[in-house]
Amino acid sequence: MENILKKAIKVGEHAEVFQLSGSSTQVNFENGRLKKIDSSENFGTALRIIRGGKIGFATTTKQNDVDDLVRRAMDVVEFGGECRFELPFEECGEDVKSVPLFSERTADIPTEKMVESGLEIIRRIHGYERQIQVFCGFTVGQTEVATANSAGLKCEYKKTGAGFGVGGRLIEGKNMLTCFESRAGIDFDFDIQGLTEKVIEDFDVARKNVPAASGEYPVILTPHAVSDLLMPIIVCSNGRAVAKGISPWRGRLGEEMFDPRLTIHDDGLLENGTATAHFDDEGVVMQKTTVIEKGVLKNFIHDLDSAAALGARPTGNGLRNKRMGNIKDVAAPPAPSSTNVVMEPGDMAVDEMLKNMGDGILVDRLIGTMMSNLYGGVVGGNVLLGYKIEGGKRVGRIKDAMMSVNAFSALKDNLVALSRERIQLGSFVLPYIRLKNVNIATRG
Amino acid sequence: MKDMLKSIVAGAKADYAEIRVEDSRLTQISYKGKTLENISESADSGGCVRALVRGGWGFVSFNRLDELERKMNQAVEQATLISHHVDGGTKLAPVARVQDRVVVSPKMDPRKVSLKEKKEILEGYNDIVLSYNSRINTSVINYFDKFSRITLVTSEGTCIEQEKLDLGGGVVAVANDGGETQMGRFSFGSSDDFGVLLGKEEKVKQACRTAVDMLDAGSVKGGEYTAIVDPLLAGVFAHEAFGHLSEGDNVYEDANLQKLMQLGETYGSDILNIYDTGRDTGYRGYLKYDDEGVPTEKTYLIRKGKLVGRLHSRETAGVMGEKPTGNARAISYRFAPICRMRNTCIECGEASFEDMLKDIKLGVYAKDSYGGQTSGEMFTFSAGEAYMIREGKIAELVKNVTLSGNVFHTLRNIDMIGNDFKVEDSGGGCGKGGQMPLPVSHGSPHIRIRKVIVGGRK
Repeated sequence: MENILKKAIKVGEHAEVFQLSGSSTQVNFENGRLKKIDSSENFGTALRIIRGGKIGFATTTKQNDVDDLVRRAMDVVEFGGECRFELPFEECGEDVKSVPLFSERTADIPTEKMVESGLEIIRRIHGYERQIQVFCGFTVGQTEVATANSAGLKCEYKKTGAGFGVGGRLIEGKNMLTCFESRAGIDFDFDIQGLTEKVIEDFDVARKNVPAASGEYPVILTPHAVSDLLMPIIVCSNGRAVAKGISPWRGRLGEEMFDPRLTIHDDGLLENGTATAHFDDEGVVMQKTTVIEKGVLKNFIHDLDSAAALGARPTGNGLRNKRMGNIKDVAAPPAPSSTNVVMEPGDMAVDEMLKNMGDGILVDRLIGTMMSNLYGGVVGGNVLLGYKIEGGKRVGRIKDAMMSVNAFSALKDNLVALSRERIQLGSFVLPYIRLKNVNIATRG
Repeated sequence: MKDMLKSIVAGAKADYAEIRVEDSRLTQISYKGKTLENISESADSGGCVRALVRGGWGFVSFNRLDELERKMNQAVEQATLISHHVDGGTKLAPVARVQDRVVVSPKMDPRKVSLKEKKEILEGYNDIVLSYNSRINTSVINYFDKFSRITLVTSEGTCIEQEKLDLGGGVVAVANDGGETQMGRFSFGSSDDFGVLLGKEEKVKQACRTAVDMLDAGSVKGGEYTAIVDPLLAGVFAHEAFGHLSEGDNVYEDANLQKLMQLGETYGSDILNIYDTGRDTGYRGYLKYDDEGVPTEKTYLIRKGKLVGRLHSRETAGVMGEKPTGNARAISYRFAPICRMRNTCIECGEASFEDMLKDIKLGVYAKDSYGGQTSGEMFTFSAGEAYMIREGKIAELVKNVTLSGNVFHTLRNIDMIGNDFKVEDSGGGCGKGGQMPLPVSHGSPHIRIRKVIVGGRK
């Protein structure tokens, strides 16, 4: 790494080297049987050379590619984007350093144990209904991330990651039903049995279809569906979208935009969060940034570039992620990206929320919402899994339905309640939300 | 190198073993507004080994191309561990041994176009967007080209060196007025021609027009409509509505789904023909061999409304006693191949656009695509631009139109198929099992679908 930096500084004015290496193992059960065990070892290097105020970016996954890497970064630097920022050099404090990133339990878990757990899950679900095509999977891995730059920064951390998913598909006649749950974190600490029982309970209610006419309904969104509802807020508070005027929120910091019960943080230091780290992928110390506080737009999230463009401080959100999801990709240039998205809870228990609503719809899973006009606040999708609620109880599944809401107005004028309970879904910590007047369009 | 790979697969203690090695170069250029966001050159090199032992699969991927024998042993160990828990049901459909070398010969080779020229072309389009009018706020422009060389060696004696070229991107015009944001886009893609990016000034202007016009458009009222869908969006519909369900890994171990998806079952009216092909050169879904070394073909999924085929890997074909179709694809050496589409099309029909339109009292004309998603029998697909149809005529523009359907109803409700077949590649791709974006194409003429659910206001 130092060798690359040294060579890069020789030909450029400033330089930054980012290196990622890791390994992971996945155990997958499909269609009720142990299907495959995959493992992966990866290694990659990204280089930014800054010369004449411009950035040259090149990456490689080869081991001994130093000269070629430097040459390619130099090839593009004359055409590169303007460099508006200075490379950071910041020590991280004890409070940050003490956030755990490495779990011995995750690092040491034997493959056989995951295999045993999977077999047990299949026995349990098949005990409920033999016809369910059960799938489940376990992922464990370790990542080492290091960043060094010509400002003198040299930071690195080692992190574990763990994931678990369980679900199944049940076909009865021409009715297809998929129920699943998944969790992820730094520590392999999953309530495997509890989630399996949850999936069985969902199957038990949802295998019965109940009709619902098109119209406006009171709706409770589960944390899964809330993550869809938050997408417009996530894309609009992104510093780059703000700086470029794609987000309609430029110049609106301090404005009361939502119901005062709404508080949302981007928390790079969240305990056991999948996106938690000590440094972002540009070497900026991670932090907790409050995006919406009591309904007021407080902060945008920034990488070095967007912070410089808006005269703000970087917020530790310069991440090199694949296009979808929180997975690092050495070939991706840093961009402002959410870390862990945490929503403050309300004070009502979920059971009470359901009881209070009486009759309405519980929306658990949506598909197609990412294709909505998110910058316009639109969240529209097929209700893949939704339940009709009568007298506060789930009475069956509503099918062939589209939900469409505008998140900006729904979370301002139509918010009825937030639940006390929250669920951590990988990089999201979210409550249930009850909204009034949600449009549901159905078949027939 | 090839001899070493051959000796490693030959020595593997497995029923079947393969090694895939990949070396690629990726150029990316992106703009947001006036500023160049990223320009980069990436080199990617890595490989994977896969072993099948008594019905269990082990898979190991890596960047370091050393210790291949250790990696193969690891895959065999993983597969053996699985084999203790399965009954050996997996059978690979037999295929002919292939020894081939596939070289790309582009019409216009992006590797021969300098970065400076690429940048100038994109900047030309960017200028059109940014100077279109005051309601256009900004632009988003992406371009990539990727050249890869993939070597596949199997324990059955197949050895293929395949070059692949993939390029694509898009120009998005972003219009903004008060709190309202709308976008219009022009997207492109090809597997053999940088030329698809040239001379698109009119398309870029059209994208600007759409974005600006949509600022003033109303929302559609949610409910069921008769929809006319343009070729681009109908292609996405074919992909989402039926392509995914036809993927062999969906069906091969699910007896209940097999009952529903028996070959010969009726899924649509007799005007409906859907196929998936790897043989259409130039499109992003073109592929001579899949990632198991199986030659691709044109596979009919629906003929005259009846189910006639599915998209197989060797494993899904073997288990179902059907023929492999060359649909086992992996996005890179990081992944094992799974059943995926190539170029999925609704075949050309006879209806004219006017015929489709004339007897619709109230409907939606949905154009251009924002993308789509499928899960089981449910799917959604979003229009980039849409109009109401009133009394047989195209009426006002409406914004934010997302359509949704159910494979068991919606295909049957296609009642007219147009005579204006077109494949239009985009710069996006398909995602499945964490593998995204895979280059695929789709094509269709205009189609008319009755009773489509459209999400919207009250």
